[in-house]
Amino acid sequence: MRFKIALWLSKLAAFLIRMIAPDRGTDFPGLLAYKIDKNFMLGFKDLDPEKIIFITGTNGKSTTTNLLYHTLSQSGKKVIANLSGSNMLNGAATVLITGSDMSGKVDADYILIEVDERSFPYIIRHLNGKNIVITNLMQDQVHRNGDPDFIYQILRKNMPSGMRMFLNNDEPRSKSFEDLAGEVRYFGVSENNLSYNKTGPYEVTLPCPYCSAPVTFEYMNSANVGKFSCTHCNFRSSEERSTEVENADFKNNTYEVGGVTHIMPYDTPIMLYNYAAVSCVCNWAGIENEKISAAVSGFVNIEGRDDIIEYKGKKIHYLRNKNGNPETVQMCVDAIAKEPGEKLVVIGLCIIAERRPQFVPHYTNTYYAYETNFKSLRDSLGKILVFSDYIAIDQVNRLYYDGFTEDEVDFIDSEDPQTVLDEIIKYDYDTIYMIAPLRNIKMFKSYIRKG
Amino acid sequence: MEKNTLNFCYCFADSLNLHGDLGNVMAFEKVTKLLGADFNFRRINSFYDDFSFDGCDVLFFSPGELKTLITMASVLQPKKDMFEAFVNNGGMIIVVGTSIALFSKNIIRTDGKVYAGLDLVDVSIRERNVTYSNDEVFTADVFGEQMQIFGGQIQMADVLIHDENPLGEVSYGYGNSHKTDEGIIKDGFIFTNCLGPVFVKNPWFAAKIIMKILSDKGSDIDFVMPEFALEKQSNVRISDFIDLKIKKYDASRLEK
Repeated sequence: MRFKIALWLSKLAAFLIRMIAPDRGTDFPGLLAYKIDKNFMLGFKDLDPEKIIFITGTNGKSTTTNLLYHTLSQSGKKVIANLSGSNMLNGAATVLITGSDMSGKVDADYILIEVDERSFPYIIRHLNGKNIVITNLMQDQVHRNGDPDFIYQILRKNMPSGMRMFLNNDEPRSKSFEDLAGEVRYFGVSENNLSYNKTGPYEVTLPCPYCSAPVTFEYMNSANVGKFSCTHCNFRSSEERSTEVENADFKNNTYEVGGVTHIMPYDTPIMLYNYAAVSCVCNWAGIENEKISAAVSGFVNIEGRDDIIEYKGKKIHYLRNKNGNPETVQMCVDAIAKEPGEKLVVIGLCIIAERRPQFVPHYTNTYYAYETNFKSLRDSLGKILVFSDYIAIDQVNRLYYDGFTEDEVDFIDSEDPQTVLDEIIKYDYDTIYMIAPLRNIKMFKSYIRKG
Repeated sequence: MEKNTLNFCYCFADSLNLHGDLGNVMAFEKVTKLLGADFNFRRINSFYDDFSFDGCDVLFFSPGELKTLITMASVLQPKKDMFEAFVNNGGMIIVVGTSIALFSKNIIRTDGKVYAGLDLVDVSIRERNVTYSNDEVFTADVFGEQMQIFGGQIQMADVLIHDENPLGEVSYGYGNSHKTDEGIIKDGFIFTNCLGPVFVKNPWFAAKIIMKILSDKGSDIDFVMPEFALEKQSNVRISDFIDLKIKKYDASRLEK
């Protein structure tokens, strides 16, 4: 009975939120349900584990979840999912609340649950799913996680045996979960004209998740993601890939899976892995590549990943990085570097800020900029403008280390939206790109909206 | 000329790859050249391979995962003498962050399991249940020069000093184990928890180490500390930020 009361009240809450503020409170129904019933999700009795797909990993899990939802739905499947990034226990519960009837029966072909890596132990205890996609496991939120092994161990220690795993064949930590799987399906991306390798004397890869020896790459499609092998043990990318993105063509924005051409709506190298993961899951679900291709071409990603801000007649194309996550900065740099023509590149790697600074202090670490290679920006650079409270000079120094000169780099010691935006429009460039955390991008958008 | 060349060895770089500390290697190259010396770079990739430290003045270890450091310490136990011989022959080992675990007496993980380090410094490493991250500022006497050093910490383990001298005294941050001691300095060995990368943000720290090594080798360069105006300017702003934090939030609560 407690479950039913929790379900009905949380459904009512979900209804009211939809009426009043549909873009807010995305996990409130789940929060309410768990306040009433601490085992709430266990109350959904008829869920088929085969239909439940968890999507986790450091980068790309929201995009993959949204793309998978889109592709399955477009292919005629009934799907429910947490699409707005509410990826902790309450967010997962909200999916079931909104996707079930008053008795708690869920009518869906697939239930997609994006899972925050730290929340995985809690979600997996409450929701018996058979399938998991691991996009990649990289450095992220090091101020809380310390090192990637912290998250890696959380997932390994709590991974139920016998799951069907969709693993990134090109990312060592993700691929190493194969020994825990009941069934493995790999996805990967073949070498393409934007693939590269780290050849600089100081550049580093990563330790093998099994023996800690250096991992080397035949090629990379993103930092430390590509065809790899350990220099000591036999751990390597599998030659048997279930799904491979091939012949990526960034001029015509196409790639192939199983000989079928797909149009890529977003054309960054790392995005290819999201396409590969989605094709891998959809192939398992029995969806033909032709149908996947048709669906993917019409995909529009959730707001906040990359978009355009307009300010006083100038269009600023922004790309979101996550503070403390070097891969996301590199993705942004790579995406900008491949765009032709002189441009202004605005970079704001800002203070690492927590929601509760009285407990977890804000701090100024910009170390991760040294794991990003900015040199590729040089080929089509007009100017770099760095902005940030307190750590702008730190970032300028980083760019000097990559060979940029005083003539090429300006900075503003501020994150104030008006100050930064007014500075940007002083430059005589039609093409403007900005790399900044979502928090700052929201501040800019809010300032512009208020006029 | 060899006496005016810093022979710098980046050790196990792919395995010890955390926190952008490859920037420290870039800083050593830059500062060595600014001081008028030559920079000779070498890299030892795998701790499983045969290697030697012949011709090296500096062995540099950037931070790594504790799991990796435990494996590394186990594999390198038979080569412990090489490290001791390197220091006894005038070499300098520089260690940043968690990689102190490799050289420690022992490493205590949160599950209570204890692993042996190489026991080259008299410290124990105790893994923390929760990572502590914050800015760090400390003062240190580096080969006769008093300096203030700025950076950050991502502290996954406490460094419990037994019979060793700290490198410096913490004025803001966590240091080795939330007391006032930061790092370790002894003959042929410097360790700091400070990230940033620390030698990028504090090139005077790198400069002093380079001067010491090259002077001991008989360098005939008349060393002059460069101005490093940009880095000083940056640290002033970070100091402003720390002052603001202290004012805004109770510092004692911040550090708990």
